[in-house]
Amino acid sequence: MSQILTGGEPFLFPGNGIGCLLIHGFGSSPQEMRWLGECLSSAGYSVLCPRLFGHATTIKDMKRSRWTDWIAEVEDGLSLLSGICSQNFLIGLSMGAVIALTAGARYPVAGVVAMSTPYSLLPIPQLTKIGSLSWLLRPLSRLFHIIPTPLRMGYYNPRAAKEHLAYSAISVRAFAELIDLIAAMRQSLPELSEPVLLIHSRHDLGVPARNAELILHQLRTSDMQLLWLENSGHVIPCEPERERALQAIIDFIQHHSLAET
Amino acid sequence: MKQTIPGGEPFFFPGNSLGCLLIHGFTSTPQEMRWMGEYLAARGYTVLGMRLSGHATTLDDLARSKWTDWVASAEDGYHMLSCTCSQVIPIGLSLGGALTLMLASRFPVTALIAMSTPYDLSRIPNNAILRALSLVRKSIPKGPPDWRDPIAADARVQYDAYSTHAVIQLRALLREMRSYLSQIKAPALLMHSRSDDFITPHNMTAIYKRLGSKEKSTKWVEKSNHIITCDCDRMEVFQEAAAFIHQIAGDKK
Repeated sequence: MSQILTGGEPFLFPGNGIGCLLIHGFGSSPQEMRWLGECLSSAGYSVLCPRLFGHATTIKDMKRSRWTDWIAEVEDGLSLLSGICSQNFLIGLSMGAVIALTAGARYPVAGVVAMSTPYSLLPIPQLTKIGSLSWLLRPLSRLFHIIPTPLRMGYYNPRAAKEHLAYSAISVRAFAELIDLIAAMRQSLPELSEPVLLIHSRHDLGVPARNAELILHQLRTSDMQLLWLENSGHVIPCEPERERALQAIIDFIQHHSLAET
Repeated sequence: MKQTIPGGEPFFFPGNSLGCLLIHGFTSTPQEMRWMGEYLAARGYTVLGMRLSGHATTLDDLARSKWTDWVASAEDGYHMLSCTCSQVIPIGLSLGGALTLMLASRFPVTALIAMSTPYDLSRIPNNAILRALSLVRKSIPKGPPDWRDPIAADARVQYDAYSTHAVIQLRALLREMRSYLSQIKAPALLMHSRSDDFITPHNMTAIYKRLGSKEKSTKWVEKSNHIITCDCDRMEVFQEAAAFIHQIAGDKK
């Protein structure tokens, strides 16, 4: 009866004047961010996790998505949080992390947390210099709407693999948007002046570890750190080391937020 | 650099455990609900003024939209408010009014307020004509604002044209809405202006007649045009809404 898949609903937990805007990944839903959101809310922060356009409904909606829709939804989130919060942190996973880094360069935020962030989707990231493949995917997507295979998450927590609410296929048209979004992120990385915390699994199958190193290399902000996880896959907030990631995020927020007046 | 039109941003005002979900109209933005939102927030309620997908950005975004996207946006707002509020009342204008009715048919809303809501688009050319038109004209200009309060007309933030394709989607949404009207049980307040020359007064009468709710009431205003949340009678509209919510909240306690 409802458009949104059960379990994939967005959430808003008002709290103190420090806001955490959580951004989920490509083809996925707010479900993968919910545990993190509940923990940050328990720690006192205000938490908002929007549902990105085309997500948590039907995969058919994905082909009408544009990456600018997803950026607009982060703007929405910041506008909503501004009703309670004086400073906001963007916390994204995978494509959500790409959005967080891109939006972080555009809007005034207190810091960015980027988990499992792709720098490029090509097997050899240096190939991005040649040019984007999205121009090829757009016409192809008229012939092949979806590739019936899920993205590789490489779970260490088998229960999380079962519970993960995400499309079980890839929308080709939306994938072209993802490629362009990542290109936009690469451009914004040197302009980003806020503190950045990167968290990445060394054994991430979907987005290999070198992506984090490449991002770190491109950042010019004076305050950046990278936390490596050893026993997790791609969906960090659902994996065995999530408590460690949470602690690092809370430490990061505490360190970079101004005392409330 | 921003995607959303300045002034068209969504808004959130935290308050008590009764949440008001404000839903704007077709081709418009949260701006047309903001005064009402401020009025209700001043009375202690939690208020969320959401942005519908495809709105308050570019007309091209609206042309990509399907009616199901707008329902999904409204559902997003409902779920966000439900996290903190034990009672949620959707309050919508025009397309937003139709979406409050859709929400009431799907979720246990405490009550609903639908304003200037279209029952159908009988005065707009049929879909065959629109489809033909969409081949040559992607959008239809709105012309000068027809709001009767000049201050409100100056403050308005919305697209200055209709997307031809999106009008077809709006019609599809209304068809869906009509099929659920009789199943709606939530207490309802309908408001409409007698001098609405865009969505004529008979639309409210038609919705009222078919609405399943046992507790249903109507309120007419006289001087405003379609956007009754901004036009000359807005204070009357806000007071009526607040009195209705107050009574509903009192009943439930």
